[in-house]
Amino acid sequence: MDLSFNTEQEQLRQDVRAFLAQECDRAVVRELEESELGYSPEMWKKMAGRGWLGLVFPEAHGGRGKGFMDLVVLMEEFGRCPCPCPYQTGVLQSGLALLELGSEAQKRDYLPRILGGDLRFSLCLTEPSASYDPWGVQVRGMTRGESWVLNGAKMFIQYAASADYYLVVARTRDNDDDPSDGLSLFLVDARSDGISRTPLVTIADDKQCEIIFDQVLVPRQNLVGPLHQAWPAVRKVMTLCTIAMCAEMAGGTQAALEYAVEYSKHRVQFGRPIGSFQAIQHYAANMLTDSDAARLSAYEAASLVDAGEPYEMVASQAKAVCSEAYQRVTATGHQILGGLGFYKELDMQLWYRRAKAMEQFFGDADYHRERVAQLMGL
Amino acid sequence: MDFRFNEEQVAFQQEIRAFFAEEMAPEKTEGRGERKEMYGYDLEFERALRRKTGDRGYLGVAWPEEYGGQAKGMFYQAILGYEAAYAAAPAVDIGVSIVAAPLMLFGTPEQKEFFLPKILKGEINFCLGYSEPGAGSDLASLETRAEIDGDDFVITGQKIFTTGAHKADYCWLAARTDPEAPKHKGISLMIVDMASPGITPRPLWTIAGWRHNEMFLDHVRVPKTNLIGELHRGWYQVATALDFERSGFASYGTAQRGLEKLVAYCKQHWRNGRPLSKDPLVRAKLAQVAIDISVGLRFTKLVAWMQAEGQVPSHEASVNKIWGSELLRRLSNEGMRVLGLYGGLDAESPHAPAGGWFPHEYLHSLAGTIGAGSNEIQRNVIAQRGLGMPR
Repeated sequence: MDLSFNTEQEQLRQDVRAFLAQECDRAVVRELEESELGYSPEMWKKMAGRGWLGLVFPEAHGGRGKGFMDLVVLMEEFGRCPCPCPYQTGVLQSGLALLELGSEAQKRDYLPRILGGDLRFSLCLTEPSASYDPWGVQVRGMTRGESWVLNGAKMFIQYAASADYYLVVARTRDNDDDPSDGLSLFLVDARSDGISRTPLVTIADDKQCEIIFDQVLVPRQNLVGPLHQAWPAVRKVMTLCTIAMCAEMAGGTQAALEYAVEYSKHRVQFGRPIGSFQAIQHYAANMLTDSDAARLSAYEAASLVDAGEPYEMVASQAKAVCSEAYQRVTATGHQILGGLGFYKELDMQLWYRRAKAMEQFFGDADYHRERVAQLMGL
Repeated sequence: MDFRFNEEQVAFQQEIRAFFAEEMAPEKTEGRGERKEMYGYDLEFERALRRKTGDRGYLGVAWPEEYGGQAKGMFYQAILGYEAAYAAAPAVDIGVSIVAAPLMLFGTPEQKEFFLPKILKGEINFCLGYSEPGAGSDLASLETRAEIDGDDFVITGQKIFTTGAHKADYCWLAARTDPEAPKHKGISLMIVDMASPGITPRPLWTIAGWRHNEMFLDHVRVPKTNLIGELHRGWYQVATALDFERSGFASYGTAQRGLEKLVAYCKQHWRNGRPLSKDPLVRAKLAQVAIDISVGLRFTKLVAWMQAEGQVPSHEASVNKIWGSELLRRLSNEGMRVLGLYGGLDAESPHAPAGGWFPHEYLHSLAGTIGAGSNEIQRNVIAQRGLGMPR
C-alpha cells in the first residue's frame, strides 16, 4: 500500500496549478463561460505544448506515456479551477476511443494532431434517449456504394460546434437479444453535408449541441474498429473517462470546501466569525468527509487502472460517491455563504453548476448503484 | 498510489479469517452463547478464545519485537481488527486496542514487563475507567479522586459506561490527583487491579440486552507504582490513547458481515413474485451499503497508512470513526426495512432472519456514534484540527 503521489505527480500538480492561476483565474472562467467557443484555443494550445493533452497516451502517438494517477492530478486541478475546456470529450473520450479501436493509420493520422492541440474531436455517444447504455443508440449507419450513410440525432455533445471531427457511435445491425451487438464507430468530418447543429443551453455552460445527421456520407475507410463490435471498447473508454471525471469532481469538491471554510473564517456575525459556530463547523466536517470520500474513491479507481486490475466496480463506486459528494458539498457551501452566495459574484456557483452537470454525465449515483448491484452479483 | 494489501498481508488476512472461521464454527460456539454478555458468549469462551488468539501471536502482530510482538506494522493490526469483527469473535480486548500503545509509550520498565506479555498472550483483560456521570464528552471535568497516602493512591468516586468491569482483570483508570489545578492539568492515569477491595461494578443493561456497568470506587488502594507516565499529565496521555482507539477497521468487518447476511436473505426470499434481490429499491440499498463500506475501508487504509508512515492522523481518524459508526446505523436500519415485519424478530424468537442480527445491531449501533468521543466531538475535531476553523 502506498497512498502518496510520487514526486513527478506532485510536480505536475504544482505546474498545473501555477499555470491555471496564471491563465485561467475566476474572471477568465466567467469570460469563457460567456464566450461562443466556451474555451480558449490559445490556452488549449499552451496546454498541448506542456504535454498535458497527451498525458496518458503512448509516446509513439505523440503522448507522454504517463499513468492514470498522473491524469488524476491534472483532472483534480481542472476541477478546482474550474477550467472550462474540452479535455473530456476532445482528448480523453475521442483519443482513447481512437487508441482502442483505430487502425494504425487512423492513430498515426489523428492522434498526434489531437494531442498537439491542432485537431478538435467530439465523441458522439448519447442521443435523445439520454442513455449511456447500448439500447439508447439509434443513429443508423448503412452502406451505400463505397460509403457509409449516417442518419439520426445525437444529443448532449459537449463542445461540438467547434469540433473538426466527430467520432459517432452508430447502429449498423439490429439484435433484439443483445443491443450491444451491432454498434460501430465512425470518424466523421464535422463539415460534412447533412450535419446540422443546434446549441443546447445548459446550466454548466459546457457548450452542448444537438447534432442531426441527415444522409451524411462517410468514406468507407472511416469505420473505426470492428464492424458491429465497437461496444466493448466504447464501454471501456467510457469507464476510464468516468474515473477521470471523478477526479475532476473530487478537485471541485475540495475547492468548494476550501472556499466555504475560508469565507466562514472571515464573515463576522454576532461579533464572531461564523466559522466558530458549531452549526457551521459540523457542516464543514461533513463536507470534508464527503470530499475525502470522493478523492480517495477516485484515487483507488485510477490506481487500479495503473495496476492492470479490474476497475469497473470501483469506478462505479467512485461515480456514485463523487456524484453525491460534489452536489452536497457545493449545496452546503452555498448555505454557509448565505445570501451573498446566491449571486454570481461569488465563486461557489461555478462549482455548484458543474456538480450537477457532472452528476448527470456517465450516469448519476442511481445509475451506478445499479451497476454496483450487478457487479455484486445481485 | 496503490490501495492494495501486499501478498504477505493478503496471506495474513486469509490465515486469520480461516482461524476465526474455525474458532467461531457452530460446533465450537454451540451452547456457549450468553446473550446478556457483551459480544454474546460466556466468559470462559471469551477468555479461551482470547488466549488462543494470543498464543498464535496475532494480538501482538503489530507490536515492536522488544515487547514480544511481530513488528509487522499497523496494517496487520487493522486486518486483525477487521477479521475479528467480521467473524464477531470476542478476541481483541481493549488491552490490545487501547491500553498497549500508551503503556509502551508512557509505562515504566516494570509495568511493561508485567503487563505487556500478559496482554500479548491474551491472559488478562481490561476495562476502561474514563467516563463519569458528570464527565462524558467533557471528560476533563472528571471528579473521581486519587489521593496519595504513603505508597498508595486511595481512590474514591464513580465511573459509568464501564462496559466490561464485571469481567475485567484490570481497569485503565483516569482520576483526579490535583483538584486545585486547572481541570486538564490535575488528572493522572493508572492501572487498577479489579480484585482490589472497594470496587463495586453494578450492571447497566443496554437496550440491546448486553451487560455494561457503572463502577463505584470506595477508598480503593492502588500502589503508586501503578501510575502510568507522569503525575497530573494523564489528560494528555488519554488524548494519545484515544487517537489509537479511533483507528480501527472493526466497524467495516461488522458491516461486511451484516451486508452478506442481508444479500443472502434477499437472494433467497421472494416478495411480489420475485426475489428481493431483483427489486430495484432493494438493489439500490444493498449497493449503497457496499459503496459505503468501500469508502470506509479507504478511510481506514488512509489512517493505517499514515500511522505506518510515522504520521499522526488527527482529523482522518475522526472522519473514519464517524463514517464507520454511522454506517452501522444506516445498515441496520435499512436491513430492518428490507426484512419488513420479520425485521423486528429478536434472536430468541422463532422465524428470526439472520439470527436476529439486524434488530440487535439496530439497537447496539446507537453506542457507536456516542462512545469513544461522540460524533459531535469528532466533527469539532475535524473542523478545528482538520480545517483550522476558529474555536
